Amino acid sequence: MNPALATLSDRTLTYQQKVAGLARVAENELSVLAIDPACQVLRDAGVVCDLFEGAAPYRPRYVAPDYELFMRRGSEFLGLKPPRDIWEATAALLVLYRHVPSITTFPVYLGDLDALLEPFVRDEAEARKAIGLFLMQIDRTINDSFCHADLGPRETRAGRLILELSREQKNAVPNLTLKYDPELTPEPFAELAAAVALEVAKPSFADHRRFSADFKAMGLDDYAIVSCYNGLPKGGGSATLVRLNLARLAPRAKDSEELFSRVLPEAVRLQLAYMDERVRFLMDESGFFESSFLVKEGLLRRERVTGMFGLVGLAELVNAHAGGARFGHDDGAEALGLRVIKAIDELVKAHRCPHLSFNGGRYLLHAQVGIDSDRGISPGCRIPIGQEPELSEHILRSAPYHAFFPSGIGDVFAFEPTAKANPRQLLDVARGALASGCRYFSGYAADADVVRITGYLVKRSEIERLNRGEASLQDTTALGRNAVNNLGVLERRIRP
Amino acid sequence: MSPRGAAGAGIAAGEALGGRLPGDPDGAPRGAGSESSGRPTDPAGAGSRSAAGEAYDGRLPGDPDGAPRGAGSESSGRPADPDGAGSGDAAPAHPTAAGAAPRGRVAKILRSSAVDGPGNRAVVFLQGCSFNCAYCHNPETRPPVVSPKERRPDGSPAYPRLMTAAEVLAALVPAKPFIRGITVSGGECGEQPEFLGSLVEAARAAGLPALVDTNGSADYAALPALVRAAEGFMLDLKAWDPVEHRALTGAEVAPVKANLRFLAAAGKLYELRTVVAPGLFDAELTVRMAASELVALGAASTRYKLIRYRPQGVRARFKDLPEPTDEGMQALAAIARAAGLNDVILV
Repeated sequence: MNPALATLSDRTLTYQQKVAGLARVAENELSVLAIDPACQVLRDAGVVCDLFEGAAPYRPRYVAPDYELFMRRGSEFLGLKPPRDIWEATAALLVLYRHVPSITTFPVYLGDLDALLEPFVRDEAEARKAIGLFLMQIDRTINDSFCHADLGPRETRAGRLILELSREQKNAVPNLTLKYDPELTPEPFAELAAAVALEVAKPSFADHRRFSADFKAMGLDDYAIVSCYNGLPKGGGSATLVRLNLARLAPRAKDSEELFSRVLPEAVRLQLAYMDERVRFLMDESGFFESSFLVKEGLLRRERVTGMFGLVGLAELVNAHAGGARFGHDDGAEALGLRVIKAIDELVKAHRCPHLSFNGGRYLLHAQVGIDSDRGISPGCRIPIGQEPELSEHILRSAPYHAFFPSGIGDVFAFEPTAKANPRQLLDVARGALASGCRYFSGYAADADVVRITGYLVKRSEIERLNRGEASLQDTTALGRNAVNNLGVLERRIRP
Repeated sequence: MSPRGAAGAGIAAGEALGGRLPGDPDGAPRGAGSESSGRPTDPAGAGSRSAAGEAYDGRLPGDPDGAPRGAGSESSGRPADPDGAGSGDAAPAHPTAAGAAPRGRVAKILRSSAVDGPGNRAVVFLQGCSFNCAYCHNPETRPPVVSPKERRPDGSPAYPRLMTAAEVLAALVPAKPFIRGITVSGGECGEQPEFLGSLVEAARAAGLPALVDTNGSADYAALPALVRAAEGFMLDLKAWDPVEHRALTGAEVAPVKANLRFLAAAGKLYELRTVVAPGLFDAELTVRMAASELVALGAASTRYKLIRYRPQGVRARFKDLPEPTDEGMQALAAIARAAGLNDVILV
């Protein structure tokens, strides 16, 4: 069937999902990018993949607006003055969210919500009502769980309210991160976050000190956690995310010698060139940076836009080339895994995208969580589901990779439901993971309705709705269902 | 041989032992005429495991990685394994040469647990418990034995095994960043007091406070160094009435009550627990008396955990014990609160 007709007559899509799907069909009619034929070979083989970013990029993939600036100044384009109370603040943000584009057609970043709202929390009961309605509206109108809000590192009344309301409402959207710093984040606040995470699979814990240091080194005092777990410059974002599928790359080298001497550098070079071309079209031809009010009003700055070099399937590549050593279990496999990541890191750092100024035009590495059609391809640098070692070994084996991925890497751990009676356990594990070198940690109790699929959140009850042939409010439900089938995400090892 | 077979070997040998543990210095009274193995069972272990689902998750004792247990494990735990009889080594609790570090029978080491005290904790299960509780969830940890084999077929260490405190701590090194302490459980850890003391002190010195999870049969008042070094004790009270306690466990309740009073007065009673199994004892009496006792001792803030009996993992002949109802559990909690306790939880 014609793809447009198939989209508009699909019984399991909402009206909005059809409109977004039709836009993708139209975009993909275009061929405006100059793609190296050698890269096209890798794209066709699934080695290089732009993750359905479209054939003609007309907005950055991930937009991380400077919401603080918006709250201080309002918006001339939107005709909004700076808010004066909690009702105006939540209304203003909801208005702006409607106009923040990204790959999903929805905002992937909602800001440091606690810091944005705290100045307006005067009467706690009133704030609870306002923030409750605000969160409900986000879940019901931003129908895509690649939508992320950040909290912390300091405790605020707004932060507590957001956590408590998230636990009560049990919504998939927004995804939440607690920026955790042992010196700034008080114990009771971190414990509340852990308790909420066990119930609703969010927030995750980000190592605030490490992210801060990484972005400081790139000239920024702040950062945003966006979409799944992507660390990005606040007031900017990422033009593109293209991933290198190491699982698919592995069989193209007959041994590790050929992998490191030819196959890997060649694939990285071609992916970099492809990313450059996508960025070129977006920045120089699409007109986005000339027309968007976000840019004109300083909420989105060209010089804060980066690009993400993604990768998946490290485990499968290592298992193919480590001579029998098993990824996540053997030192030999870890050595090979680190050698691969270091090689990619060096090649990516040596490259400059001529169309980006942030970080000198260097792309940031990203451990991509996979797409729903991946089968037998583990997200980023993760240990495959079904082969996870005991918890502490799992974390210690995973931690060495985290240093290389400022724009995101993380693991997801499922805990016995009994852990809900002792949320400090999850906090101990999360804190230990950060102290051991992990930059990001996610956990949930195995019986929760909201589950973390790979990086995003989906409700099991919504998957069941889709399985019955009914439409689901969130477009990510379908992705979650496929990932459940293809990646076995509900079969994660359950931790005592 | 199935992994279960390996475990069964030790059990069978231990069951044959019966009676008093060799080398057990703390001679607590023993239930006269109690059946095969002399003493009452693992209260502590039973309760906490039942909450976690740990004991019946298909892991062999001592396997931190959770190798699957063979089918039929629930029916045994007793000498059901025909080829196992006699092949286990009955091990003394403290085969210590003068001056050497004491070694203890370790049934299992878990590097992470949510249900053995506050936060994330490693758990060291010691092998051997002379209580014989009807509802014991891990009867395989009762006989005081070690595995006749040094290694399992996959090369990993075979448990139960004799270990020094230093060896136990070495096994916990990877867990260190993730735990706020350890819990020593069982079996009954109090049956190996010298090793227990050395483990608790070594853990503390390594920056890992230790909780002791015990059935209260050992005389902790006579072990001041252990009590000082421990972060606290989690004490199981099986039944208040001496006759019921004897029937349920094969052991006397007097030492348990003595420990309840001693530990509460010493400020070391972290938690008191009772497994509620309808029909086996008078739970209302037990909860009321225990709660009143704690309040009278000025320990009203001691946590009292009431643990719902569940049949998973218990021996076949006890399979049909009824489970308590939610209403029944709530009623017990209300009794404890009415007596003046302010931290009563149900699991």
